[in-house]
Amino acid sequence: MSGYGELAPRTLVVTCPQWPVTASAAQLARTAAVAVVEDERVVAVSGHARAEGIRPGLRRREAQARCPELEVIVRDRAGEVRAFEPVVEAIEVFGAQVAVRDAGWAAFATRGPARYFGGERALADAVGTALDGLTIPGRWWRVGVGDGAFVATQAARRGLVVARGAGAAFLAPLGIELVGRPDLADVLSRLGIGTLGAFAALGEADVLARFGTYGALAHRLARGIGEGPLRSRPAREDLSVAVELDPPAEGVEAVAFVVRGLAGTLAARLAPAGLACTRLRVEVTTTAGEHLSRRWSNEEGVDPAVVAERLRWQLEAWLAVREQLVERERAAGWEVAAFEAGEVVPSAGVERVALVPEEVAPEVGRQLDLWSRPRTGEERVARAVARVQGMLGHAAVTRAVLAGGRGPGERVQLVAFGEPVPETAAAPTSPTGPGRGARSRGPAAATAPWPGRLPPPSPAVVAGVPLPAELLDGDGAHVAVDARGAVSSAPASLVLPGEPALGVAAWAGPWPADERWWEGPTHRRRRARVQVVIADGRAYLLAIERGRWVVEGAYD
Amino acid sequence: MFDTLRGMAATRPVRRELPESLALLARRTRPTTLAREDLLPVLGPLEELLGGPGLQRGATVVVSGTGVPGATSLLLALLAGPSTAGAWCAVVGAPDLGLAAAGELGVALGRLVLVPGPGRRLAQVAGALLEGCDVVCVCTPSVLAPPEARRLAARARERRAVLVVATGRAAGSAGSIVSSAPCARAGARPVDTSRTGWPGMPDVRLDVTASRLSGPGQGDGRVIAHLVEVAATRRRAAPEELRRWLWLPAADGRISLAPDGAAVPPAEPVGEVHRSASGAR
Repeated sequence: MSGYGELAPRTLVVTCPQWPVTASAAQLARTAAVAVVEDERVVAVSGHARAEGIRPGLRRREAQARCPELEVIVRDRAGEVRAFEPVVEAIEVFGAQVAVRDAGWAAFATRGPARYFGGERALADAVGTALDGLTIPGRWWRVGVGDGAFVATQAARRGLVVARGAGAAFLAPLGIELVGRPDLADVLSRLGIGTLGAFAALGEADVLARFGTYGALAHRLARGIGEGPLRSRPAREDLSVAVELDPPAEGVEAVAFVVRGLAGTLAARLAPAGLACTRLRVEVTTTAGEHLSRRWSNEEGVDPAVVAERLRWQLEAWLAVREQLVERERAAGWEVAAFEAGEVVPSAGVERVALVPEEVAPEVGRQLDLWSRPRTGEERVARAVARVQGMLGHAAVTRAVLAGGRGPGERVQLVAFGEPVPETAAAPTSPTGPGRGARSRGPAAATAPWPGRLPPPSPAVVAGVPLPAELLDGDGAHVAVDARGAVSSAPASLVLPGEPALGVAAWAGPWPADERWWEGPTHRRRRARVQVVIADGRAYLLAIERGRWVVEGAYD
Repeated sequence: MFDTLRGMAATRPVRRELPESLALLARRTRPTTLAREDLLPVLGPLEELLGGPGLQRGATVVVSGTGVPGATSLLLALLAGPSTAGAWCAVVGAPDLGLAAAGELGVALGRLVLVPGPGRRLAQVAGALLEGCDVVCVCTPSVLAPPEARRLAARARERRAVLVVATGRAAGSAGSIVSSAPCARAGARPVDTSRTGWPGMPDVRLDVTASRLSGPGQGDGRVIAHLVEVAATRRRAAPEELRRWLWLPAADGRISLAPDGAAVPPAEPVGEVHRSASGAR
């Protein structure tokens, strides 16, 4: 703690409080209580919501109970990065190496720029003016300067420039929860350490002995020293990994796929050296010669897998910008032949992706199990499904729930993944009772008796749209089913569209089903089902309704 | 009458089978670390075909049935074991999958993620699901270009998930009801289906080679059981095929190994249930 030598470099931080809210609902947040949720937990709130007592970390239901008119928005991380991209581009005018830790937070070292602008205060004002010039409605930016990113972040929240070496005094009265580690803050506050100053007053060795490197790093932050140039150093040897894509990859997913593998390679290269990457540069080159790069920083080491995910959002942001450009060109009458509507394609394919570790630090071996839990299977699945839903739409990923019904297709209800399974009031103990039956489908109805339902096994292939067919008897006449549920003659051949007539080797049925007669003649459905085995071994479930045969399923 | 399956032995209150079920339980609960023991449990009757007590994580399994019905049932039976054990399974590109049949064959529908219509993004969707699910089934793989297919297999290996590929008639791909013609994407080079239906050699290939559906007569009876012959080829085993007859399902609704199907007169078990079924009608 002696002298300035130990202090982190002067840093300017630009931050937007509650960025998830601002990014997705800036207009709405001015007038209404808005909360952004992820995994059923509130992650960010608007000012109005805060006034109603909504805090990040609350469960969604609890938040809605506290404020019934709360607008709940599901977090869109890709959208947040996308919205942040113009901001980063505006800041890059001022600082050479803008580091982004998360959407809504960017920082750069002020040493050079401050001299150019004539002081840190002037630099901060210039950055603030430039951001105001972005004219994004409802977004207000906080700019602050201090020793290292932590002090600067706290300064930014108050719009201050904290003088060199004054970080500790500035932080001392602030609450311990700002240390950014809820678990540690919780323990400390229960020990009676309520402020950063009280925490900073503890002996460094004692903190290290009790809380390990995890706590020691937090202690450094509380003392206003910053994340510390002590630990990290510029990567001396070239640890970068790159991959040339041939053919060039088009679309976000294909590039993200490559980056994921690349991230694994990088991790494998860093681990034997006992290093963690604290700042990582991602470079993407397209065949058109466009060069895109972005830095990601984290004092505790950048997890390459996390970077791969971030980069996916980043690519989406870049490609979205490109898309807008193409839209603009198209509006101006330019021909954009290679661009297909509705699909995100860069102006040229991505031909090279590189991950360049810019700063590395000794891996301190954070004990993940003590403070955080690895993701459970359900969370992994939910994430994977969310990605697919992002590609294809919410309803494209489904789960099946057994429901009541007679036909093989009716017995299953598809529910969009993530939506609650529909609950029905009661099982239709008498499905033929007026006003009930076919309407009360659901899990409870699945076990109820359904007269006319075929016993298992059910066909393993069920036609989503029943396929028209024709069932003929030995004389080539149409086989009909009469009102008493008897066939007019024994079926001898089955005609399917696009195939020659197939000889029927065996058949069973018919099973008549008379449904919804209680809802009047227009809703009444009378069907009869027949199982047919073809000479070559294939077997089908056929149904006849209003004199027409359809294939409902195949026993495959 | 049939071979009892080991997986079901645990549910039966038969005293003399207890040691066997305990051994099974011990085997399943033992903390496993070796790669060859990193397995997803499967139904007992499928163990021999897969060459071990489970599906090896990271493997690629091809399920096919060219011109012979039964591949879809085999696919569902393959998913039954992992899903009931709590593993997440996903089926991509099978809009016509019979989910009632899936439930009957033992698939835990609560652990099944369905993406019926991935369209041209089949590879991307399957790739994303491999990140989170333990078993991912890709149906209609004919829309995949060979490099995409190889990349999927590589990702499955990396993520320690199982990639199941259903080719030919399997898994209710669009149009599979009528013909076995693959619906290829316009412009895409079709996968070389001459030998394996999948570029490169899958770890396990299960091929339905014969099928007998029993039950329907001439206007009487009903479909009660489905006997299929499965030929298994494993990459890390002897090159010759292993052929087994499977009930998918048997007349009692279970999946079981049939004693050599060629030797079993199909009329014998069928006729017996036949009578009771027509009696129930």
